[in-house]
Amino acid sequence: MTAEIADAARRAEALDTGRSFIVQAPAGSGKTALLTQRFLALLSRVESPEEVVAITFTRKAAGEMRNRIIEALTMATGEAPTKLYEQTLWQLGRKVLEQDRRLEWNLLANPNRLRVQTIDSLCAGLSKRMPVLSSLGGQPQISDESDHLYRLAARRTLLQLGEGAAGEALGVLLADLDNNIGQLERLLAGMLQNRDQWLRLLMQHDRARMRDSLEEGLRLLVRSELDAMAASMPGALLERMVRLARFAAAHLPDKSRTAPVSDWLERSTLPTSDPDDMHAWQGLANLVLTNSGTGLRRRITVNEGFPPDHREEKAEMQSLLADLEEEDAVVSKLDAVRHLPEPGYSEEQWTRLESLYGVLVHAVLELQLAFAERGEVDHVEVMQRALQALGEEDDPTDLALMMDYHIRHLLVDEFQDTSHGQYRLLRKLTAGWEPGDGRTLFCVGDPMQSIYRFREADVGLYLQARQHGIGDIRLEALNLSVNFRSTATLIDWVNRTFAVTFPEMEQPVSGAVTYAPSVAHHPPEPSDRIHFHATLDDDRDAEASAICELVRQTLADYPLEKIAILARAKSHLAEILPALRKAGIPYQAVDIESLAHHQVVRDLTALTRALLHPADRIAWLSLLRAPWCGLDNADLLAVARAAGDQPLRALLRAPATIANLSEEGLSRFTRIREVLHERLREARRQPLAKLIESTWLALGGPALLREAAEIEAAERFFETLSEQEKGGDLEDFTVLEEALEKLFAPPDPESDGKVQVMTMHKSKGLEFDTVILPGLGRTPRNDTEQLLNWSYFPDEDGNEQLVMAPIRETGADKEAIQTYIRLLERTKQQHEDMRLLYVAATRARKRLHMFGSAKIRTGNETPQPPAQSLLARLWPAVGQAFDNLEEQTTEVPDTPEPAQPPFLRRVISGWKPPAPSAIAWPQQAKLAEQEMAPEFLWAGTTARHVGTVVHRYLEWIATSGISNWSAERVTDYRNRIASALQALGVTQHLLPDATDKVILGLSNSLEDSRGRWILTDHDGARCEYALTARAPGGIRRMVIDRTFIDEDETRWIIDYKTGSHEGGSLDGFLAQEAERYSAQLDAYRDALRQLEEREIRIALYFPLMKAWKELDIPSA
Amino acid sequence: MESTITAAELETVALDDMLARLDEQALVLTVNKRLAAWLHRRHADLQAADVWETPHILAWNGWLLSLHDQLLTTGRETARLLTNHQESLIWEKIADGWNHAQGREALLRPAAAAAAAADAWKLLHGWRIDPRELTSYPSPESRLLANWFDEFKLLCAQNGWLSAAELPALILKNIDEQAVPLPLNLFLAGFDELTPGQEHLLAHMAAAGCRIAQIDNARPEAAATRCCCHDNRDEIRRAAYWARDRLQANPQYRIGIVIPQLARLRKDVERHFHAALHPEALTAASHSVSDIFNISLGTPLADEPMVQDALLFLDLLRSQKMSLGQIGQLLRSRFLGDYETEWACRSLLDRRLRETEPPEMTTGRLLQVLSTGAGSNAARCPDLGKRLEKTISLQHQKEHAPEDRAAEIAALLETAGWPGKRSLDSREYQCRQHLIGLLEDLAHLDPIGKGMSFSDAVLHLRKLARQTLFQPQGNSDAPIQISGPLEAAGQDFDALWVMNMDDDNWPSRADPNPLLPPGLQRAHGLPHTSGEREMLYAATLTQRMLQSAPEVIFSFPAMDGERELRPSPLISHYPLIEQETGETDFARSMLGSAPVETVNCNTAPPVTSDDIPRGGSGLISDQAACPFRAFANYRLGTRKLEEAELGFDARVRGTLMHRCLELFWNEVRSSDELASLGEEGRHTLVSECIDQAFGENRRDPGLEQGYLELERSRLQRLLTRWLETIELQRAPFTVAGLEEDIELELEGLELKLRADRIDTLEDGRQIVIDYKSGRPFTPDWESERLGEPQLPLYTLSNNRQTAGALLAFINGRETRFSGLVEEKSLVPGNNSLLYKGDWDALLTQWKTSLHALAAEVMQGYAAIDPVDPARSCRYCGLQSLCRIDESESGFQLEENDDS
Ligand code: SF4
Repeated sequence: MTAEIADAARRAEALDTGRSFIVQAPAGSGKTALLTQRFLALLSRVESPEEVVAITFTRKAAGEMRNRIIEALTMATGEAPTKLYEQTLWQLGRKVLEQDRRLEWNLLANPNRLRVQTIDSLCAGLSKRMPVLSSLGGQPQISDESDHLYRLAARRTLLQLGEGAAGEALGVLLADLDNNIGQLERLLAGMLQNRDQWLRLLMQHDRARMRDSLEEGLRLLVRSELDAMAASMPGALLERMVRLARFAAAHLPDKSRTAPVSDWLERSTLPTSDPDDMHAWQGLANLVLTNSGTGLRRRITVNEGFPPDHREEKAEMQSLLADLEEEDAVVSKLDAVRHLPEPGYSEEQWTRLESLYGVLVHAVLELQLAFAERGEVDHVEVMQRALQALGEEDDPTDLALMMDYHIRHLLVDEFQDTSHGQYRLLRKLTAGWEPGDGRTLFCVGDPMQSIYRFREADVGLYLQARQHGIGDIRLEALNLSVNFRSTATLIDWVNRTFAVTFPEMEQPVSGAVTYAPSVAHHPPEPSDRIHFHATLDDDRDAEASAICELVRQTLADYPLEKIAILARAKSHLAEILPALRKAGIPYQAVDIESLAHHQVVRDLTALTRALLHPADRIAWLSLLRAPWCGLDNADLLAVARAAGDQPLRALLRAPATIANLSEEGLSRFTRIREVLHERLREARRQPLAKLIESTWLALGGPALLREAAEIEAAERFFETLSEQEKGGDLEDFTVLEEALEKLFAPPDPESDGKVQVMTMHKSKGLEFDTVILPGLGRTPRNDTEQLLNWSYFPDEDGNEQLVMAPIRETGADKEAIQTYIRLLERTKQQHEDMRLLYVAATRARKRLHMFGSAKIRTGNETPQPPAQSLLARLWPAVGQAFDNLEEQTTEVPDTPEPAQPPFLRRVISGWKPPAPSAIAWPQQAKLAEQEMAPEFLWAGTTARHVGTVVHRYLEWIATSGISNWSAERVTDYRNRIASALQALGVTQHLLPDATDKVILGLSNSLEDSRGRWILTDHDGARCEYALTARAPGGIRRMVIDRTFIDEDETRWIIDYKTGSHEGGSLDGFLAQEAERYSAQLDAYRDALRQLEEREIRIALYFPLMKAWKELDIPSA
Repeated sequence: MESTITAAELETVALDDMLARLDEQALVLTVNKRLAAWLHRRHADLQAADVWETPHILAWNGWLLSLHDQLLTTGRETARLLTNHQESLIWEKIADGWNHAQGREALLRPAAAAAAAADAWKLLHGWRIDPRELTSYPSPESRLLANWFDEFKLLCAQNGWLSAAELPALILKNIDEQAVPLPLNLFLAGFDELTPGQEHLLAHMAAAGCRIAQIDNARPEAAATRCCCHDNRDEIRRAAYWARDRLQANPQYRIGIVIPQLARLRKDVERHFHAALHPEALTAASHSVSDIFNISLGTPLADEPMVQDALLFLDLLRSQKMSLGQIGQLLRSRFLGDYETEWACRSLLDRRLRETEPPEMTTGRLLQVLSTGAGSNAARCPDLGKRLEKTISLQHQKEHAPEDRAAEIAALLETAGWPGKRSLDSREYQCRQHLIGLLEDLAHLDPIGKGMSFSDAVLHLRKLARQTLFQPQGNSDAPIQISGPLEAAGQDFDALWVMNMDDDNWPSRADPNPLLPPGLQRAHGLPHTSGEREMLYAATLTQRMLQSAPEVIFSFPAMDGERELRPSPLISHYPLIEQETGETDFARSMLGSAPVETVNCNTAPPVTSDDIPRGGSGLISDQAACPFRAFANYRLGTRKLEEAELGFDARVRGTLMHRCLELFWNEVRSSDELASLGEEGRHTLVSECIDQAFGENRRDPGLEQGYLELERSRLQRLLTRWLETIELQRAPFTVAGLEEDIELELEGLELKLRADRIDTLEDGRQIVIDYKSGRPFTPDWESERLGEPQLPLYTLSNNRQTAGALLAFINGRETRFSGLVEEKSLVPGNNSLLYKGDWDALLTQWKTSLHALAAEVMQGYAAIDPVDPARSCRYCGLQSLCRIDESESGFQLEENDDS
């Protein structure tokens, strides 16, 4: 390691805690280290650690940075390290520890005070602490996956069809979509998911202002294009064009009067970038470009405004055209100008936008309702609410009051992938900050690595922030350049290649970023290699086998190193993964293979569906054909025919034989039938996942799998099922299947991770010795359709601007605005593709292999890459690899023999799966669990409350001395009794009756001689006597209502029963009651026998009936 | 009298000493019920006798309640103590009222705000803070809170209610007035910290002559260790196997497992502990409650299967309509009526509804289909139908007292045949009792007003069921006790494992009450206010846990998803141990152990005379696309379980279009007639046909009338365009056949075909036409495995010379013919239709191919061999049956870019 780092001075400057910066940190430049250092530097200057907030892109990154900070602090508790780069950290850490001691932070013991978090968690925190300002009321559950809610809201919106204004608007939309309800539902759901992009505009303005602001967006776009146009046009050239345009306009034949160039008839000034001059520019373009294609005119005739008798002008025109041949930039700009839309909407367009607007507003309201019902929201909502809670930029919420601390320093990682919503959040968090007031903002990122457009990232924001700052804060730009990852060989190649392929000029609107070269820290190594494997006519199988061979060779040459295969899209790996498997090369596929397509998961899904739905015939048959049962076609047919139209489940209890079922088939069927039959008997007595798992195990499912990875996949299935199920059932099977579709098979536990396969996006931030980029010549799937075409871009103040156009009617012509927006989006995408390549290529430490295929189109000599492929972006740098390629492609692809249709793989008949045994532990004697028969449901509560009050009063009477009591006194207590009953919950209209009952019971007891005897203060008398006794398998607690020793030295145990009965014989009733309670009273008696030796008698007393029933009367 | 007693000032007694000395005059108050139960058991262990008088050991809150009961009985106090449910209902009413007045600024979740307010109310009382302090913190949150407090106080005063938070003050007053009995000795157990309210109350008890001591059962600090696990799941697994090993070595052990994140991890905990401790149950059909471990945390009663279905049924009665998915759940529910005898028709009906009904159904329609079936020959479910009918008639529409609503709901459930005919196991029995308990709670929700609508009653019941945690009894004594750190307070163990000790969770992040101003909370040291507070709290608990068992293991996960975690600083100094489970779980242990064979499955038995598959062109087309698919669909009788869609699905739209065209050509029998009809005539006739077709349609799109209007005008548009741009431009023809049913015998198969239309040309040759409403494609009619064979099939049965076979694509995107014709002139302007080869040879080739395909069917050829895996399999739906993914070629990756 060399001592001095080339950009050391800039790195040191970044630690200046008094200034705000925006840092460009290219691949491999050690940006996390820099962030950590700055975080530490800031910590040592604040009053409480919560004042420094770092925002990262992922939870993983937050964890990593936090850990680095803690490690630095821990290191700082020890001696100074010897390594140079650790010394800076150590010193910074020391300072923090001083501050920590001084202010008693105790950071090392309480690292949760460090605020390193994702933007999502920051927003969640803000909105949680401000339930009123955010109008949330309280933190809902935040889910990563809310598709079902978008769909629900979309569906509910559709139910308004035909009702009121929104209904009519829906009709308009629907007609545009050929009345395809399903599609409209999907599109609406998609719009809701992306609502942070359009919502602010749509919800907050009145319609006139909305139109103004949208048209303002259009004007800005046009202006920006015209700016670029004007900038690329040499003044002299422009003057010549204007002169000729005026001439041509004046000499156009009548039939060409409508040509754009005729705009110059009335005009003489040079055009500017004012949108009003757009037509003038288009006129100029019309002058020199052919009407249809993009090329310069070749023929100049009277139709273009140059009559044959005006030789001179015609010659001048020809020389102009000749000169333009050399001015590619001008020509392409002129061409672009021709496609610019009018900077305003026609009434018809506007009507359609408005009707869409109405629908969307409605859909958003439905979504809010759905959120409220489920108590669940998405991240977009949380951010919206946090933004709301923060107040307006000119009137921000006093965070200190709400959160108990200030934010004084903000650090933002991956700033190039900021979305407009996040940007707004930053502006609000820093509202009111002034330069030099001690508060700072520190944004780090690499515009060359902005690749999250599909998550609303807009690299234009980075560019704007660098030029103009954020809000009132100016940011000083710092560029890092040293790459600590790759060898010089690679860096050289990267520098050379991307300097050519990146845009020459920065343009925030279209996300054009220029290239900033890196400086290698590592010298070149002899084993370094960069190779482009060029082929023609995309033969995927050939590419897959070439890659396999390359991987095999690399593994052999460099057994200790890591290889990554990085694809632009998962589908580009479809041939490569099977090839790797076939070649026996273990690999880890990171989030590539969807769980739903694993056969084991399909089997488990079928098992689930079958157990839940008797009439799901496909699932039931699948169970029978799966390896654990393995009925062949003939047996399957026999079983299916035996069931007829009825559910197959009916066969579980069918007779022992089934017509036409072979003997072996019968034994196979019988085994599974037994297992399923007993499962179904026990269905819904256990969690669904448990039921399915135990069935699977009982069938021996895992014994029939081949790879450990399949068991992992099964485990994920059970986890998913467990999340989805409710009450042992599923409301919607498709939801489970969709969830599985979105999950990925876990990496193969048997792979050592030497070979990894993932998407380019997923590889961000990682590094590998060898990187292989397959399929660069392929085109990704078309953009999914939207209800609206829109595009966002930042204006000079970093304010987001939006342009939008409605979808076209099915089959109708495209509209200019819409076409233009699509074009703009395509340009943005091409710029992003460039960056994606940069990210992928810079993952490599030593070796980079690229595979790409081009095509020779009819009429063309040389091969060309498909326009939207990554190869097209790379073409200027690698195109020469395709020269003279024809011979190489003659390599005969070994014609694969026609694949055999698959065979049925199944368990040998008669196999028994293993059964697990119980653990050795002396189970305690347990009362056998008896199944209980249902009994009556509801007896009302009042009777019980009457009983409670009677019990309490009888206790009071007995303990306070019966002599103090009389029926009159009880009647006088009517109000007390009523309020006691009411407090227990007796409702008003039942209260008089209940009170009467209590009074009756009490006065009965006081009047009845038996009652008086019971309540009299005897020897050993107790009320509510609580005893505990040992019982089999534990202890038993009991409470005896009343007990005493009577004059005959006999102990009485008496239980009060406040029931009463109407009709029938009293004796019969009492006998029944005796029967019912005898076990309980027996237990009381047994318990008391342990405490004293005495005759014990047991009885029930019924105060409401003045009745008495002794149980188990001694025969003597 | 502003005296307090702090925990530190209390004298301490050793636990067992205290238990030995317990008498009638002593009272033990515990921090929670769990500890009280444990102390009772511990006390029992010390008894020599088999029966003894139950000592007074109860939880703090339970004691306050029992005192209040006494005060009520004697009439000293009359205020009605609100139950939790009642109180939260009142707060929610307040929140709802406030919310309604807010308009656009209304809260998304007023109930959450109500809960926070209720919590704030408790905190202020527990910490004896004057609510007027709120005014010094002028935030919208504190203003709202002050406002709601006022309203709550007013409501309580007006109605004579007492909130639980105010109970201690009321008891305190009665202590001062000597109106409640006090014990001579009071022992406190398990209080890690006392609230100011508790301290205050204790001081008054002391003043009244009560001797107060604190139980100390701390052991000497254990030699603790720590264990680094891979992730939460691994942590749980290791703890489970560790507990199992300890227990097997020492059957008498009492083992504690403390899981701070228990609420989040409960499902996993249950699953892994069950697997480790009851391996025999892994393959068992039934699932019983473990007697070896007990989890302190219950699950919402609403999630119990039988309660869930009961609530679902009530929801149906409440909202009068329901999604098909939920109706399916009811139809599959074994807790309703006579499921045992009716399950087959119920499930068939569910399948049928998915095919014919819109995504949402009304109760009325459901009742109808239950008793008469949906569409033709569909299953009926008389039992369920009768029950539903009766329940509907039992429902009271008007307002009703809550008590009566409870009775009504009970009656409705009983009528619905809930909880079914299967006898209940113990868990289900308890569950049912709990639901009855909830009905009581519902009956007691009267403070909010006199009447309750049925709808509100059901919603309240659902809410109660969600809030009530259900925990089946029977194993509270189990040797392995799994709980959160608070529930473990005060108990001791022979061995203790503490999970989730990573520095993200322990100490946890501050989580103050969201409505109370943070400044106020910090000033009073309310719980969870700040990082510092959490730190102290976690340290106290850690210390307590260290002293509650001779062996203590702290574990932490190294990863949370992709994020790396570190051990909590509170435990990071303990020595690291490897607590490997050394255990392959059961599933892994049997991986690949079964002997397998592979069998050729390309054929099925040949078709026999009693088993001739019935079908039309679909059979041949399936056989061509993938022989196995034809076998499954036509001989095994597979049918996809549909998902209902909003609006007309493609099939219904297709039928409507076919019918319109049929009606139209019935009137207009030739190209001449069409031409002479004129524009207006065409328009009128088309619209009449549409009227008639829609009039005949019985399918409910599930959408308002406006949708039907849109569908009509779309059809009008399409048909007009079709007639103008295509039919009017064709060579002269007369219509020879419309929707003609044709039976075709092919190699023994009897195919039922329907020719949409047959036109006869001037020279007598014919053109067969098939209408299509989907996206246009070019049929694959030149290969051996014919795609879209219906028209080629028809040519076999046609005696006249066929001059063309055309698919008529009529949809919003495109309107055109696709197919093949013998001569260009037959369809002017569309050269792509012309067949370049020998027409007669083509017809012969079709014949050969079709016969070959039919012969395949008859012979039982059923290979899993899709013509084009990407396309054939995509909408097939048989993947789980044919197992195509298992084979080499079946590897599928979704075309899904990015992410
Ligand atoms: S999924 Fe594919 S292979 Fe399986 S039956 Fe259907 S078409 Fe044939």
